[in-house]
Amino acid sequence: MLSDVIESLRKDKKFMSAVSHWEVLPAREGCYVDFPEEIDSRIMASLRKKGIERLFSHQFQTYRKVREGKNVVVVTPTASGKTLAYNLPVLQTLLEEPDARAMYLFPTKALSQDQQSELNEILLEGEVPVRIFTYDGDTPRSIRISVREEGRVVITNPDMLHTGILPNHPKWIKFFKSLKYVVIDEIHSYRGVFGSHLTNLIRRLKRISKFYGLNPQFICCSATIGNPLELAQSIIEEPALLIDDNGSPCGERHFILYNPPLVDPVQGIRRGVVKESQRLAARLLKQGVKTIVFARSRVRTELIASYIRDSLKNMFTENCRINVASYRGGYLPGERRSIEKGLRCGEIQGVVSTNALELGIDIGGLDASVLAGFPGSIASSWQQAGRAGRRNRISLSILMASASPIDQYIIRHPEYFFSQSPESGWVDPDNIFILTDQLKCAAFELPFGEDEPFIPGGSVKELLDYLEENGVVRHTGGKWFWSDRSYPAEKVSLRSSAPGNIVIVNTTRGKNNVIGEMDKPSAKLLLYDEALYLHRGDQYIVKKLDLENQHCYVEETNVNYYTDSIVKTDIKLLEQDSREKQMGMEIVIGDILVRTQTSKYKKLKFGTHENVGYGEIDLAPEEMHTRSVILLFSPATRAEASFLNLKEEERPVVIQRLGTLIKNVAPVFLLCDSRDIGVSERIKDTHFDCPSIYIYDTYPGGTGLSEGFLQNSQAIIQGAFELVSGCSCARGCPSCIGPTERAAGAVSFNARQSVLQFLSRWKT
Amino acid sequence: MKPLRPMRSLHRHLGYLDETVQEKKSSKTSLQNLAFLHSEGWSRVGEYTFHRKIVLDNPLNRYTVTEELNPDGCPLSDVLFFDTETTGLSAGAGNLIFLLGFARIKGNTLECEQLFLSDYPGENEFLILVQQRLNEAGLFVSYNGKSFDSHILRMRFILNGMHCDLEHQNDLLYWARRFWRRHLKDCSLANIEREILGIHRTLDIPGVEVPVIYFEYLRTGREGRLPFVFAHNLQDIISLVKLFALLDQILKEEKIPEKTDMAALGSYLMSKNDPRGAEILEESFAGGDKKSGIILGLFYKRAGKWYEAVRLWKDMAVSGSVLDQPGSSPSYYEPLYACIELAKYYEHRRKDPGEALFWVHKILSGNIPCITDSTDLSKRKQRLEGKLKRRFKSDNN
Repeated sequence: MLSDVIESLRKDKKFMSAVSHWEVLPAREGCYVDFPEEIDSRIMASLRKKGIERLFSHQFQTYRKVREGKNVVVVTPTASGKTLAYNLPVLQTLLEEPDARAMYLFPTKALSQDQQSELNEILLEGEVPVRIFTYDGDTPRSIRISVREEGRVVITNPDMLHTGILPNHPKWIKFFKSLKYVVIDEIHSYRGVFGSHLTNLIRRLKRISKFYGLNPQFICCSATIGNPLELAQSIIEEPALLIDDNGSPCGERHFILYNPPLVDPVQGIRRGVVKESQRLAARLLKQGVKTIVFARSRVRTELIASYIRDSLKNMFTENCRINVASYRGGYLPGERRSIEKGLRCGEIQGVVSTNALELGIDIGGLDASVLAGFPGSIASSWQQAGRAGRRNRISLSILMASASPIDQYIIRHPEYFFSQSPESGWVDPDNIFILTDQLKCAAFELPFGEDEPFIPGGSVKELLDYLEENGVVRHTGGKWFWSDRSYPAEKVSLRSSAPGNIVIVNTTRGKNNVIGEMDKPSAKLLLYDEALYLHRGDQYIVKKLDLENQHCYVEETNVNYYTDSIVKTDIKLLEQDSREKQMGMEIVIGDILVRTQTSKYKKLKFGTHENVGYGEIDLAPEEMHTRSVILLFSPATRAEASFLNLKEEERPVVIQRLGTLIKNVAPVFLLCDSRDIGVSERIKDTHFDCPSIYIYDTYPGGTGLSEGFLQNSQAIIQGAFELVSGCSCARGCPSCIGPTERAAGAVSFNARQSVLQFLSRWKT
Repeated sequence: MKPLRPMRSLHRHLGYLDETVQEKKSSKTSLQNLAFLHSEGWSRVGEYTFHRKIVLDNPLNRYTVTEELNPDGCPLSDVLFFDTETTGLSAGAGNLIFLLGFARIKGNTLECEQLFLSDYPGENEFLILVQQRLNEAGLFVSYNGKSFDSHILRMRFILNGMHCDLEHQNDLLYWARRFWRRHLKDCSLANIEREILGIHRTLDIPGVEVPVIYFEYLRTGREGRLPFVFAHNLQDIISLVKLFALLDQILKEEKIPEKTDMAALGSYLMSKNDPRGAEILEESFAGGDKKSGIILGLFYKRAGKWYEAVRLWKDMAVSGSVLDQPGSSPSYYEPLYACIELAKYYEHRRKDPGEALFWVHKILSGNIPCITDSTDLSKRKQRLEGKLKRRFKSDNN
């Protein structure tokens, strides 16, 4: 059926005129192996019931290696049976050894819950005697004791391990005394600062395990990234075996790069991604193609879904019996489960989602995926595209470009997109800020011995002495003891945004129902008073956002517009620690305040997106106190001379491109992720009175990245120069200085040349 | 591996997260300095552990206590009262017990003991001494021990590769909550002492200061304010015994403090099938406590004693239109409650929709503010009107 649709697309001249590239990735045969003889008959029975008769080769290999006692890293695409690959050896061992236990670590709560239902299926809803529990913030107090005492598989997330489990390890004595396997799924999401924290968390976990006499074995799973083995090994700090030859079959995949047609060829304005993806998705759905659309924001997700539903409404026969759901974070767990189930069993044919469905939540196979805008990374693009494609069946993925320069670059340079290897992930667990914070947590859990190897091949003595100077540990009798009344894990956040969600309450006509939730920073952008809140196609108007009590009261409404807030971010220097001349510029390091304020909102009409009104927002700005390094092209420096040498019109472009360049290069040297640093450029800084580039930590309080930048500034600038001079692009691309907008009022000069010219004059 | 050189900014980073850091300036104390306590009565019983015993009059001048307080009937001399002082408030592994107070009844005297851990490395020997005492006990009595002290104790034992058994614990906090939560703003031991036991501490230190004092002592090697902590702990133990004695008197109805929630006491006794429960509730209702009336009414209703129940409800339905106490939950709004009960009674028991409707109207007329969801009420009204109409028709036929 899909092949007919693809054929009709090929013949559709209008469609084809917007296609910039059509890649056909050939089908691949599956590679099957029989189940190992020893598999417990109860597991076999339930797998047969699910229609699984044989294993894929990678599942078999994972099974063998895990059973041999090796740490493994499994890297195979979405829907290749990755979870069965690790569940099989774990469950088999747990059935053979009635005392053995396992911990599953997932980056988010939603994924843990999904995993629990999948495991329960294999365990025949309790007939196979292995007790599975999810342990997270939502676990009721009343069952927490049973989790600790009886849980054979405990599914949790890093935050809960960090604040709940490890600091209370004596309560978990039974669990730790028999912890055999630690499964870390979606390990690619632990990059940068988050990953550095996780690495230390694993150090703490191993330390506790050792205290109870065990060394657990690690099973890691990753989506396709540039360096999965390297990342996993640096997180578990042990050798591991890479299993990446996918044995699952895969049908022929059609990957189309699509640029929405021009509506105003003179100004270069194209059709919007929202409408265009709706049009395409509706077309596919009407022809019976199960489709997923990935949108880049929550509001867009809701918009596209309701537009698709509207366009199907025009047809007779009960919307062609097509159900389209929207899916994103912030829905109630029950709602999400029912959408996932609806997708699996075929009741829902179309879904529009944020990247929430990019990770391994089981939604069964879909036929087509439409990416409404480039998701921001090559790895994400492949993950999202991979949501389409059932075993042995043909699939279709369409990447639709928005007007942003990156999207437009990719659409014009398909070779860049298809040859670029997915992004790599780095961690720096010995980052002194992260390490010190984590060391406090570790000291709280167990006293430190004199030569305890917390860091492989290194010593933390010096840092412990430092902590003693500050009075939080006490060195006595050859050990360092925690000697503070606080609970350190509570004050150390693994993620940049603090937990704590705003609960959305529907108060229409005296109702008092919780309909969803949202994190606080997003709530300030989306749930201000009078905002229109879209939830699964229903409209609500925000009556009151009560940040203090973490509630947002909404009422049902029916209007013809939605709202969009206007965000302003400004940076204020709070305190300057040092200012020094280096490499022909001045470098300042200090504390800054990053302030994000939503002060106005627009009302936009559904369908046309035309502006039909404004409103004021009265909310305190979201403030983050963090660390920053500031590059100054101050008077009488080489940087200034080189900058002034540029033509007036080049200057704003060059400084902005330098910012992009630094954001691309710095993570490699700082071993962080690009989301961990913020970059802001000024053509004339009001405080310093010269051109400046701010590079700052996006974790509140800073994590040492600014200090790291200062130490490595020479290498970073050199790296930036080499990157831009060696890049194979002509006028700038997403990998170097960012692509050039060619539309409206194209610049008369080559940005890449200008940046290069600036850099080389500055360096000499 | 990069050199680990703490930086100024790191210091700031830590200070940013933990404001308490700055005020502490560590100066190392050697172990010798710590191995000495000057305050009264202490003697060394281990490398790091100190002990003292204080003998007082026995506030519990009786040989048995009620079964409620001592379900297994263990001899009073085997009851171990205990209280811990810790370096933190969390239940995590980094929270150390450095002082344990015990009390036991020995004939006419109360024998109090305290064990003090003078530095971290002595925890093992400290816990061995603690364990000896725990092993001799038949019943543990604590205040908030079920959710705090015994958790920490268990945790400390595990961390030292040992085991302790704290089953058979009577946590007096639960009793205090039952009897005094209604009339006291909080049920902390300090507040119970003040309001119920009539004990007025002088020179006491607040509980949150305890860890600070211990850390201060560890840093400086001087006793400093430690004697206050010892005294605080001792007083806690003594109060615990006094509270135990008072609870025994209350349950035996020998003495009932003024601020006791009689409704709770009556209700408790009734749950134990003690006939005194109903008497207490009747008396307290007669004295104006509506909550007692509600509990009693429910009891009569369940027991099928309709006459008594209706008497109570009618009494409540007409008396008072002010809330029993501000902030109490709406279900305790007794006129409303009583009217609904009466309406149910007349509708279902007496099959008298007219009378039932009278009580519904009494609410809807606005004399009684309706604070609960009124949909149930209007449904009831409709149903009753329907019944009345049908009856009227059949009467006419």
